[in-house]
Amino acid sequence: MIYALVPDELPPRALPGVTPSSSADDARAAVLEAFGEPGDLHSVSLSYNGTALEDDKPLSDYGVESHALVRAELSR
Amino acid sequence: MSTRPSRVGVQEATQQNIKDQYKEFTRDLGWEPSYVPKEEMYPPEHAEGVHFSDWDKFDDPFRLFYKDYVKVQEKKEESLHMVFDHAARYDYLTRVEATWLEGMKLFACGQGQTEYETCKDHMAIARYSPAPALRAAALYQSIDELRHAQNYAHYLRYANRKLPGFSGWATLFQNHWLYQGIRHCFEDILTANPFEAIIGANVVLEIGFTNLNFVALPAVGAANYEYAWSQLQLTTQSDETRHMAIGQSMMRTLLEEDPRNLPIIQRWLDKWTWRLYRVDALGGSIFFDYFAKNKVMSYKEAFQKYFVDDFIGGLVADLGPFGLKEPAYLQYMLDDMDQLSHVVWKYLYQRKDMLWFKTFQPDDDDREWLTEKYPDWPNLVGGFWDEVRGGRDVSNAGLVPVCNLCQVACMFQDENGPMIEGPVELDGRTYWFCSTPCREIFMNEPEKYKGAKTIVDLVLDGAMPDDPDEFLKMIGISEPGLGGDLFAPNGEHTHNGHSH
Repeated sequence: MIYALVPDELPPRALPGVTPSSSADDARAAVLEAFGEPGDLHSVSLSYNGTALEDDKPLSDYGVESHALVRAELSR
Repeated sequence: MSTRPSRVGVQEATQQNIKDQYKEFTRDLGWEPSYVPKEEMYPPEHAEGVHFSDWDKFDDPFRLFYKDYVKVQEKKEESLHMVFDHAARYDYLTRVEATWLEGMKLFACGQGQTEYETCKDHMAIARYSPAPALRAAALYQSIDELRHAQNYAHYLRYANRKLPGFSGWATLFQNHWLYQGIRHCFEDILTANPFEAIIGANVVLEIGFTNLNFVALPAVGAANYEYAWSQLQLTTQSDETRHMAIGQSMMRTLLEEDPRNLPIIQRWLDKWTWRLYRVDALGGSIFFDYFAKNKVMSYKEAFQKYFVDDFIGGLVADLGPFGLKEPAYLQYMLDDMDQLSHVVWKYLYQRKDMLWFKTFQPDDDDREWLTEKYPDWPNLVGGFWDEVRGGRDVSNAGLVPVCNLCQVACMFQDENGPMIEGPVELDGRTYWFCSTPCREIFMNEPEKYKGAKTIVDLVLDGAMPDDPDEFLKMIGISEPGLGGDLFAPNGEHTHNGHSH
């Protein structure tokens, strides 16, 4: 399972359906779903082991495996 | 001329007689088996690592005869049930603070089952200890623990006739995620060798935590008008003195016997202070800081007095000359104090619809008290409760990483940020840990722990349903509306019992 960690909103939350072959955009959408009310969150930025997940490449390209903790920063 | 013995002589003869009688009735029960080899009857792994030359020399600090034991316990039961019956006659639950009563739904179920788990732990010690005196002492203790378990069942039975949320405790304890930490911890004690089990149960739990649970907490309960339960806690504690003495005596005996026992005992002390801290402090802290409408002391204050000053201070002063040091993870506990009850209460509130008791947001009086006792409270969770007050939906019913040792959600942080450790790969499986102590304890005994699955592991493996309604049924939430908010947005109680 891939989890998203938002430092101010522990514990991390699961990102259902997100796998290493998912794109960073898919992961961002899943974070929005997991952490926010509709319209509540304006932007999400993700990183893994200090590297920003910025484009639409598969998460596996950043070294994300099937069990992983991705960091997320939210702006409301 | 009369040759009557002097009074002193009679006393000496009587004392000698009692000592001999005790030996006959307890320690001499350690006979040499004739049908099986002794090693088969008391497998050596049950004394694993412990250095001791003659188990018959091991002493029980309480030379207690069964008939005397029964007489004392009978009086305790009479006193307890007199209070219970009196309280019931006046329908006392209607006078208990509503917030505290919700906590009792959590506490009485968990404590009753924990007492039963401790009963099983001591039955195992009574069966497998190589020292006859420990077998006798553990047998008495197992009966004590059964008495305690039955008294909590009595409380639950009474409360269940009056209010919702006091039933189904066996299923809740077996399957609800909130109790899995307690189960895992007490099954760990059950499967430990008798000496490790006594360090865990009789030393750390009984000396370290029971004064918090059974002396400090009843004072808080009484301030919230829960008099019968407070009496129940005190009668439980009356047995704990004997249990503590067994633990203290065993530690001292092993340390005096052979210096090679020191690192073994230190390792067990390090492990069990952390393991039981995670279970006991996590559950107990929210009663001092949140369930209590009429607050008496903060958990942080109680922990410092009863655990740090009395238990750790006393233990190190007593056994320090043998080289025993304070537990390795004590600083983690002290650092944890400022966040513990607050992150747990927030987490419960986010999952309030998966509970069988109601939670609530702190009111203005609570906020003032919490900020006074925990100056970092506004930074830590104040914003969260502001959002709740502002109407934001803060619920979180999704899966979260759960610690593969303590079975608690990975929700803790320190000055460096979140404390979560993982994923850790071991023999083809993935593990998560809430903190460094949990990871280290797990990795010290991976063969013991690696097979157990957290409730999240079970859902991901398909062994528990992921359909929300089916999942709730399986964990023991069979009636809608048991959980949720105690207070409606307008401040009225949604509790279907009473209000003050």
